Amino acid sequence: MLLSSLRIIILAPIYAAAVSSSSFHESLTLHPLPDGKLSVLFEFTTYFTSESSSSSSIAQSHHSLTPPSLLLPLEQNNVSELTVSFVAGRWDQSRSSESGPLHHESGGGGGEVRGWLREDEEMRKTSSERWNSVTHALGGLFCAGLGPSDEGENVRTFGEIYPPVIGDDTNLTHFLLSHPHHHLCTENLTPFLSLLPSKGLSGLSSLLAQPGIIFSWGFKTEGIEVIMPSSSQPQGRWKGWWEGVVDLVPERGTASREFSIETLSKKHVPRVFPEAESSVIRLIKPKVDSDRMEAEPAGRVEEKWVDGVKREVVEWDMLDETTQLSGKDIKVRWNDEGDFKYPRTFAKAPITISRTVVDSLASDGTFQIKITNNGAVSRDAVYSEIWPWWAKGWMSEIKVHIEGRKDDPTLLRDVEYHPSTPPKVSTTTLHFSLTLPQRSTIVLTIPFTKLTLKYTEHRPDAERGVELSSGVLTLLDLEQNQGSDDEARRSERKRIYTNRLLLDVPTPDFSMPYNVIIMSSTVMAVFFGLMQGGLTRRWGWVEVPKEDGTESGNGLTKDTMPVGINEKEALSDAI
Amino acid sequence: MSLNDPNSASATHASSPNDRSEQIRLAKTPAEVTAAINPSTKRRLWITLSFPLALLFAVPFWWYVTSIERLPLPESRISALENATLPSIRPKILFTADIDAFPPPPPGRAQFEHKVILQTLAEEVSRGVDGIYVQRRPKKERGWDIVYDDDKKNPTPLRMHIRRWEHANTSWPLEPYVQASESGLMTSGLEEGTLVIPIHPSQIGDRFLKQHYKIAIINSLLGLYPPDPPEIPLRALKYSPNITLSFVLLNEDASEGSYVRSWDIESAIKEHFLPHIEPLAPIFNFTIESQLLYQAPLTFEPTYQSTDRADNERTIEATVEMAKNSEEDVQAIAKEIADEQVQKAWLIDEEQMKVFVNSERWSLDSGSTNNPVLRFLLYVPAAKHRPMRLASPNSAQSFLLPQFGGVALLNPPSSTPSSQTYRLPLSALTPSFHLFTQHLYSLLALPPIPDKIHPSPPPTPLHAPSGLIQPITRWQVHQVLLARMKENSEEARKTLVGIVRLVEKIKEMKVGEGVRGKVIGAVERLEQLSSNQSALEMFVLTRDAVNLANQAFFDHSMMGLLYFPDEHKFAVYTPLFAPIAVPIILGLIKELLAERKRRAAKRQPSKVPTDVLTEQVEVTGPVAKKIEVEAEKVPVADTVLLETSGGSVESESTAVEGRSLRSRSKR
Repeated sequence: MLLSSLRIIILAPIYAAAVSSSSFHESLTLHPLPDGKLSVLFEFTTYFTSESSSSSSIAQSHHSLTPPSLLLPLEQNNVSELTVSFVAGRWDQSRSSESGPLHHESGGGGGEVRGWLREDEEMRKTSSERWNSVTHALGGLFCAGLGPSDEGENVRTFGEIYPPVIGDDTNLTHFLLSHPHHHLCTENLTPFLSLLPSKGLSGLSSLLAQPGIIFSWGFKTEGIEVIMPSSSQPQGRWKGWWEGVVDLVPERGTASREFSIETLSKKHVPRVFPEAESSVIRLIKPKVDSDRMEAEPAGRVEEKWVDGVKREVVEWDMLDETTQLSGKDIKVRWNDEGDFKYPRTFAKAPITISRTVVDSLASDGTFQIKITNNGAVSRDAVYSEIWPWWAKGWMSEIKVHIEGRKDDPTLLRDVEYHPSTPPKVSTTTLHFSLTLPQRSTIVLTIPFTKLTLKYTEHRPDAERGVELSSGVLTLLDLEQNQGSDDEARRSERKRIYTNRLLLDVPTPDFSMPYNVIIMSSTVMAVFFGLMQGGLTRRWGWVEVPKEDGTESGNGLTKDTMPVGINEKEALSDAI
Repeated sequence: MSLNDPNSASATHASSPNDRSEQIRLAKTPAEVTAAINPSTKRRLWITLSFPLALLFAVPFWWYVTSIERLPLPESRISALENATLPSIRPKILFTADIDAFPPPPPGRAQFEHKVILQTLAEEVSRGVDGIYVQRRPKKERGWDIVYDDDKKNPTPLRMHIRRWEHANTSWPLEPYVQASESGLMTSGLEEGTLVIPIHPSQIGDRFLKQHYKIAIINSLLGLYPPDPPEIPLRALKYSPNITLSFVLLNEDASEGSYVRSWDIESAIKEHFLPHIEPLAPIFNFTIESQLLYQAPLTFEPTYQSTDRADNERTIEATVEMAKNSEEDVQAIAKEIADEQVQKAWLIDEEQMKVFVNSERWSLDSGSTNNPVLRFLLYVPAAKHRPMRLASPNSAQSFLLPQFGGVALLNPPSSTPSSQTYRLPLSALTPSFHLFTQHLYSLLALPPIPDKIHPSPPPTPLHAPSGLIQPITRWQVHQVLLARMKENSEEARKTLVGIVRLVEKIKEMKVGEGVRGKVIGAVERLEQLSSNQSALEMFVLTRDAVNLANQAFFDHSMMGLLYFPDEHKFAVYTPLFAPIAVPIILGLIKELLAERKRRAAKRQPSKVPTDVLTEQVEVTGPVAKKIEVEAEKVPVADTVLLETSGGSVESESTAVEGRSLRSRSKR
C-alpha cells in the first residue's frame, strides 16, 4: 500500500549526469603474436573516493560501483596498495617477440600477493598481523590459499622493486608473499567476476564469463591491483585484469589465422554495461604483416608506444552511438594470406631472461640465469630472487660473465643479500645490480645446496618437487618522455619475470617412521635380551663322563665342548 | 661376550677380575668355583627384579607424559544453576505530574500535598494492574514499582508524567504518548522517553478526572511493561553482540536501461534506521554497509497475470468512496477503475518468494566479518518485468525472510521512457524503508510500541507531525534488555550443562586451565545475577556469561590434534614391548621356581644334594635328575663350563676352552 504512493512521488530522472564520484572503465585488447597466437587482455578499472561522512557512532560504508567485499578488508587493515596476481602457463619470450604478457603487473608464475601497509599508531595490530588477516581475507575471496602458512614466508625486502604507486613510502611497509605452486583455475574466475559491477552479465565482462572457453586458452593470468584512497590522495583505484593467449591456428593441420570476436568467445559484441564510462575494444597491430591486416568494421587508428615499439592500434568505442557495435561482430583478417605459415625466425624481444638449473645433483645445483639484451644500448637493471630457506646459495661462488667471454666482475655492481634463518621457515632474498651490455647475453651462475627438509615440511606431492618463485628483472632506466632517443627505454614494462622453476628435493621414504619404529624396537629388544642375559647368566661346572676313558690331548673333544645349559638335553642324550 | 662379563656382575664386586681368576684358581672343587664366579641367589633375584622395577618406576613418568589434562569443572555449581530461575527485577517508575494537573480543592477542603495525590493515584494504578494480572491464567505478577522521588545516584530510566498542555486533545479518553527526542527552541522540557499523559487545562475540572488518569496510566503501563518480556521468535536473530546491516539496491538488469543508478542511502539510514538502532547501542553493536547491484537476474520467470480480484474490488470500493466526495471527477475516476480492473502485473507467488533471493550469485554483503548479517534488499525489476507484485492477499510489497532479512519491490513509474535512469531521493525510499524498519523490529524481536500509546506530538501544532515510525523508546529498550537477558542466561546455562556432559562422555577430551577459567567465569557471572541490579547490569553479566561459555565450548584445546586409536598404539608398542617382556617374565618365573625349590630343599635337609651344580642351576624335570644321577655315578670327570644362555656358544668356545683347560690342569 505504501509503495503505491510512489506514483505520486516524482522519481527524479537524470540523464547520464555524473552524480557519484566513482567511474568504471573497461577495455579488451587483442594483440596478434607472430606465432599464430593471439593475446587477449581484459581490463576493468574503477576509480572511487573514500567516503567517511557519517557522523553517527555506527560505522557505515556505502558502495555503488565498488565491491565492498574487496575494499572493506583492505580498509579495516589499513592497506595502502595491494596487488594479487595469478599466472598459469608459461610466457614464451622467444616466439612471442615480447618480454612478457601485455599486462605489466602480472607476476611470474603461480600466485603472488604484494602490497603496502600503512603504519598507524592507533591500530592495535602490528602490520604483519594485519597483512596476515588481509591475505587470508583475500584468499577466502578468491578461493585460493593466499595467506602465509608461516610468518617467515613474508618477504619484506622487495619494497624497492615494487615502489608504491602513490610515490611516497613514508609510514608504509611492503609485504610480498609468493605462492609459486598455485595454479589459476575456474574457482578464481567466479569471484573475480563478482567483484565487477557488471558481474559478467553485460559489457565486456560477459565475454569473460565463459570458463569453458577461456580456460582452454594457453597462458592465463588474472589479477587485481587496488590503490586505496588516502588523506593526500582522495581518489582510489581498483583494477582487475585477465589475460589469455589463444591459439588461432589449430595445433595439427593448417588453417587461416583470421579471427573475430565471435570465433574467440562464441558471442557477438555484448550489450554495453550502462554505467561504464568507457568501454573500448583495441587491436594492437602486429610488428610484422601489419599492413596486410584488415579489421571490419573499421575502427579509429592511432599510433601508440607499446613496450618500446611504436605500434598501430585500432580502437572501437562500444559506447559510440553511431557505430552501434553491440550485437555485431568484429572481424580481423590478413589480406592475401591463406593458411598460416609458421615463421622460421622471430623478431627478438628487447630483453629476454631465462633461468635453469645446471650441474643438477640430488643435493646441489647451480642456477644459471641468462639475460639477453637485444637492444642497441646498455641497460641498468636489478635481478631479484626469492628462495625458500632450504636453498642455500654459495655467495662466494657467484659468477657473472658475458656469454662467450671471460668473467667480468664489473657487470655485477652490487649484491644485496638477505639470508634466511634455517631451520625456521624463512626466505633468502637476493638483489643483483647488473649492467646489461648491448646485444649480448650475460650469464649469472649461483651454485646452491639443498638443505634437508623436515619431514613435515614436504608438500603432499613431495615427489613432484618444489616450485621456486620467478626471478624478477627490474629495469631501472625506463623513460616516459617522448624525446627519448632510445626506443627500447620508452616502455612501461618495468619488470620482466623468469619462468618459475621446479626443483626436485630429496624426499625421504615416507613410510620410514613405521620402519624406524619396528627396527628400533627390534634393536632395543635384542640389546635388552643380551643385557639381561649377560647380567643373570649363571656359570658353573658340569662333569661329563668319559665314554671311552681316554682323554684327548688338547681337551677339545666332543665331550669337553662347552655347552649351554639349554643344550643339556643334547648332553643328556650323549650321556 | 667374554667370560669377564658375568664375572664383573658377580658377587664380589670389590674384587677385580684378576682376583677372581685367582679365586677360581684357588678353588678346589667345582662347587667352589661355581660359587666364586656366580652372584649369590639373592643378588641374582634383585638383578632380575630390577628390570620390572625400573619399568614400574617409569610408570608415573609415562602416566604424566601421556595423560590428558582434565581439570575438574564446577559441576555442582552448574547443576545448581541449571535449576535456578532468573532473579526477577523490579525497576522503579518515577511518577511526576505538573503542579496544576489536579484541580484545586474546593474552598474549605484541605489542600493535599502534591505527592500525596500522586501516591493515592499510583496506589490505585498498582491495585488495578494487580487486579488484572490476578485474573490472567496463568497468573502474572506486576514487574515494577512506582516511586515519586528520583534516586539521584542512579536515576531510573523509566518515567511517567502528567502534563498539563494547552495543545492536548480536549476530548476523552486521554491520549498518552512517549516523549520523542526534541531539538530546537520550542521543546516540552520533558525528558526523552517519558510516558506522558497530556491533559488539556479545560479538562482538569472534570468530575471523573481521577478515573480517566487511572485508566490511561493502567492501559499505557500494561502495554509498555508487559508482565513477561517478549519471546524471541524463530525468525529473529539469536543474540550476537555484533550485527551487520547490509542494504542492497538490486537492479534486475541495468543493461536494458531504466535502472536506478544512485540512491540516497545515507539519508534513508539516518532517518529510518539510526533512531531505532542507536538507542540499542548497549545491547547490539551495529555496522552498516550498503551497495548497489546493477545486474541481479532472477532464477525464475514471474507469471504475468491480473492482480488479485479481491484486491480490485477493494480498490473499486475505495474509488467509489472517493467519487462520492468529489462529484466532478466521477468521469475520470470511472476510467481509472476500468484501468485498474484490467491491470496486469508480473506476480511472484509464495513458492517463488522462497527462491527469490539468489544469494549465490548476488553478493549481498561483504563477508568481511563473521557477524550475523541482516540484509535489506530493494529490488527494482527490469522494464520487461514491470510492474512486479507479490501475489499475496494483502497486496504487500515486501516480504521477510526469517533470520536473513527483508525484500521490498520498487517499481519505477511506467510513464518514463525506457532509456532513463533514476536517482532515488529520500522521499522515494521512504515507503520501502518504512517496511524495512518493520522488518528490523521483527528480525531483532524488538517489541513494537503498543497501540494504546499515541505517537509523540510535535512540540507545537506549528510543526508538522512526523510520518515516521517513532524511534525506539526506553520502555522498549528495557523490554529488549529483559528478553535478551533471559535468552542469554538460558543459552549460557544450556552451554555449560552441555560442556559438562560432553567432558563426562568423552574421556579423551582435554580440560585445560583456559577452558576451566572460562567455564568458571561464566558460572560466576551467572551466579552474580541478583534482583537488586539494574536491567543493564544483569544483561551485561549474561552477555559475558554466554560469550565465555561459548568460548569454552568451542575452545580448540579441548580437541586433541592427534588422536590415535588404541589399536594403533598397540601396533606401535608391541614390537618393542613383547620381545622385552618375554625375557623379563621368563627370568622371573625361573627365579621364582628356583627359589621355591631351594625352600623345599631346606625343609628337607636330609635330601640336600651334594652336587652344587644341581642345586644352583635351575634345571627342571627328568633331565636334571639324570644329570644328578650321572654326577653321582661319576664322581670325578672332565668338567665343562656351562652357560645358561644358548646364544653364541661358538664364539666363546676358545675362551671357554682356555679356562676349562686351565682348571683341568690345576686339578
